[in-house]
Amino acid sequence: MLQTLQSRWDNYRRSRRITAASTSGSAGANPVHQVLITVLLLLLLLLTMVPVIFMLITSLKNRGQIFTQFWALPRPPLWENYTLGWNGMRAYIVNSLLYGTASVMAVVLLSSLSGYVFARHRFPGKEVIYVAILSLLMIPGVLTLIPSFVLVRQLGILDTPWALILPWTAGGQVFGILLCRSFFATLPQELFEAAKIDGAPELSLYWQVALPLSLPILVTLAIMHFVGTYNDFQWPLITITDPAKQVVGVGLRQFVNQWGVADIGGQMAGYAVAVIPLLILFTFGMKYYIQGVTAGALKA
Amino acid sequence: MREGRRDTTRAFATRAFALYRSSILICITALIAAFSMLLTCSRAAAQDGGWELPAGRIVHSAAVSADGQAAVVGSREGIVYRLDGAGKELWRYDAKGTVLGLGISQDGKRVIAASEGRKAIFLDEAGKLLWEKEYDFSLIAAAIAGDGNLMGLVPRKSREVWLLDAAGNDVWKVEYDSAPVSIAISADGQCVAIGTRDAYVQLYDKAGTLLWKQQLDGPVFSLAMSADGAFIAAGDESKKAYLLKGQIDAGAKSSIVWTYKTDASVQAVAITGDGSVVAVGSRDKNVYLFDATGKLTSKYATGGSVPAVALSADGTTLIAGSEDGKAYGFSVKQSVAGYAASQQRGTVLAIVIPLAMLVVIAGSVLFLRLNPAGQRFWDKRGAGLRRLAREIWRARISYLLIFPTIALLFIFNYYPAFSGLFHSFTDWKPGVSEEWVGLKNFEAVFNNEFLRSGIVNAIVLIVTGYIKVLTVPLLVAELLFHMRSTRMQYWLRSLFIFPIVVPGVAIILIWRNIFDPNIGLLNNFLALLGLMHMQQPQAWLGDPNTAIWSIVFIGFPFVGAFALLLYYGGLISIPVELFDAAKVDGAGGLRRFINLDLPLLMGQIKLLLILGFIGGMQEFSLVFLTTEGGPYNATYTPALELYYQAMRFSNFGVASAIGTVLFVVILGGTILNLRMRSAAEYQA
Repeated sequence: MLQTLQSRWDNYRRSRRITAASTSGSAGANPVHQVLITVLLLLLLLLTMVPVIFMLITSLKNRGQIFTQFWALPRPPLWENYTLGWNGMRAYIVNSLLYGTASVMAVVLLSSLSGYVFARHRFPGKEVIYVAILSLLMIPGVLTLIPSFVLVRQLGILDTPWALILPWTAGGQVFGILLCRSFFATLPQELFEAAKIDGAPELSLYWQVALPLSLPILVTLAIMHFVGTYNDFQWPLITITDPAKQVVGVGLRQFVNQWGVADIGGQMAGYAVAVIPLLILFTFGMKYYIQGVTAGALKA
Repeated sequence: MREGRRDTTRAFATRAFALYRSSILICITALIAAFSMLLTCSRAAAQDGGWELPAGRIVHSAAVSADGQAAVVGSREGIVYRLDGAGKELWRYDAKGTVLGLGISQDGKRVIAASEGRKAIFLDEAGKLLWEKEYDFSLIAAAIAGDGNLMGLVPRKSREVWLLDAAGNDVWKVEYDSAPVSIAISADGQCVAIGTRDAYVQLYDKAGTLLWKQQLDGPVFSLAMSADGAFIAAGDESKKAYLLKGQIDAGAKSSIVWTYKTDASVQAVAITGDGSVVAVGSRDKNVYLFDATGKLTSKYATGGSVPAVALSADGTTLIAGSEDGKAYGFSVKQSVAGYAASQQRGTVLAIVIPLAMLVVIAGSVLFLRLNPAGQRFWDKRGAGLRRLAREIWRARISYLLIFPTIALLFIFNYYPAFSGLFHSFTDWKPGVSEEWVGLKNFEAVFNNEFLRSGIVNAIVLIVTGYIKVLTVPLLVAELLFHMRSTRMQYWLRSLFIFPIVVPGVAIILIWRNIFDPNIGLLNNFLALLGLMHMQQPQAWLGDPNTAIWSIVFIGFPFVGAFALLLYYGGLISIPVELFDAAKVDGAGGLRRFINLDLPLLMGQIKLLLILGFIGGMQEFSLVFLTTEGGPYNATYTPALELYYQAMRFSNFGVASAIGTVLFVVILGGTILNLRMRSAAEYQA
């Protein structure tokens, strides 16, 4: 699926260039229109960025500066706000990274394994089981929220990392299996036949043939799942009460409530610090994330 | 030829009928079994016999008389409530400071209260003040002997414990190196136990002579003593509850009988006169009951941590105070029975269900074998079954490989879903009882005014969400698509998507700041334009008229990265030939957009509408992080009310019912949408 998307994109770029050359003078090429489009887009972009810019500027001010010179740039810029923000958010960020990574690894492993089995194995009841798994996409979170909470409490893992990792993993698999199965189904049968003739056992077909080929899609899955866990708020809110074990989503709220209105600058610095992990992730993985969004949309 | 065919047809019909009959029989048997099981369950789970009483924001302390007919609870707001055996309020007394410690004499006629307002208060059974004493320190714990003639007070941070007589005169006091935090006095007034921050329990006789010391694992937050002082229950910060046995005569030693580890620090303990029942209140929000051997006999979840428990000396009544602002009363016997029944039911179900399935299978096999038509069917189908079994066995590796996935999904996805549907028909006290109440929860759901305003708000959010997602992202995608400079296009596209690196919670919190009346960006901007005076700032989120619209405004100008990506991806996948054809037809600009782009983006639009509906119905963090539903009920959403019902009020049954209703609405909406989609496709 992704390959076709990629090739479609390439085709498109190529053809656009050709048409662009051959149809100069059409509406789209009108320089006045181009300027208008650019100006409109830049204006919308500026408005979109207002919260981010507001966050960055305010993060360098103290309360007095915010009150008396609201529109001025921070003078002097208070970099120590970032020390505050970092100290306040560090533990939450580390927790988020730890739990998120653990869940990502489990999801990637389980989804690729199951996706592989559903794509390439034949066994009685395969389609029924697959449809049963997909039907979980129709179950909204509000239905399972409270029973899941009770379950986690009865399992005795409330207020432990497992309360996040296990449900995240279970839920993340559904989309992962969908993604992996459709990818593995596109791999040519000959690849596997060849390996089978060489006498490779069943598991090594998965490990040595399917997995290396599916690396891009697994990266996509990993990034999507990590972003999902990093942004999760409601589930950690009800399952984790110990601040030392809390993750970024709820941590941000605790951080704010702890400082109240006394130190808006420090708060904003805390938000900015919380951006760092995703900023790094997207610097390298934006392409994969975009592919994931588009692929997910095409499947649905 | 024709005859032969008819014969085959008839034989087939007979077989089919036999199969049909037997399957019906099996189904009916299974249904009856399931129903009878459900019925026994709900009957076993019925009976709770408790009461709940809202008493301020946090119920910090509780005490109960020997027969359980006179109880007192103390609240965060400094009110001492006197209750009768059924939890009815008889009178209240304002102690002017959070009531952190309470004691009541065995006959219920004397009440000692320790107030954070640096006062000890001594009341009689009618709530009349007998005396009060002012101190230099806040008081954090109090205890009283059974006859009301000896009482103890623990001040905060003074490292002393004071013992007083009924007239309020000092009898003796002790000093410590480490701050004392808890106290208990035996009903016979012969001994006093004191727990300290350095994890010691120390026992004194009534004259103040130290009899023994016992070290526990953490600061001893609470103590309780049996009537003769032989048994002492203790709870500490290391999450443990203990039962200690102490000798008070000659040898004066102590030993730990049992310990139990809860999920958080133990804040309160209580014990009966004979030491046969111990109650424990923990920060993990549970009230636990144990027998003399340390066996857990009951467990009840309140809506907050439990800073107070009290047991009547005769072991009939248990009172608990919780941070959810309620005092709870239980009949010990019924609570234990309910817990045993619910535990038993688990085991019974685990045995009965597989057993019933076995019986059904065996029955159907027998039925098939004994019946001539069934016998033929068995011979014929048996081969198929055996082949199936062989296939399953051959594919065992496949099953093994998907087993972890299936197991996780069963535990964390399927089970909660069915549990939610089932428990929406019960009065659900997880781990304690579940009583079948039919449609009562749904009645509560439809009569809930917060939920009704929540539905209205959800509709507002969904409709405005539709408008947002159909306008700005589509416009931006079209504009980007029409840019000539590919480099510019790439950079602008990336910058528009950039805000997804900011965690959703941070975005909402930043917007909360933007809406701040005094230092918010919005008001300052309006003031800059001369549209607002900062002397009379508009509290956007605090004003019921603007609150929900302010929340709608969050995210302005609504260039959602997700929608933008979808539209843009849709546009670039439109074949170029179509654009060329449109151009040949002379369709440019708006006409091309309406006749070409829009129909080809229909798939994306439908998807965004479905997702918007599902997301809007479940909206939680947007309102929870900005207004928490307020002012009053102006910004409630259904998911927020669900959260409150479960986490604040412990109404798990009602919360499940809200979840079920939302599930049905979402499922209905999605199916409707999908059908419209296929109908539209069919027409096209």
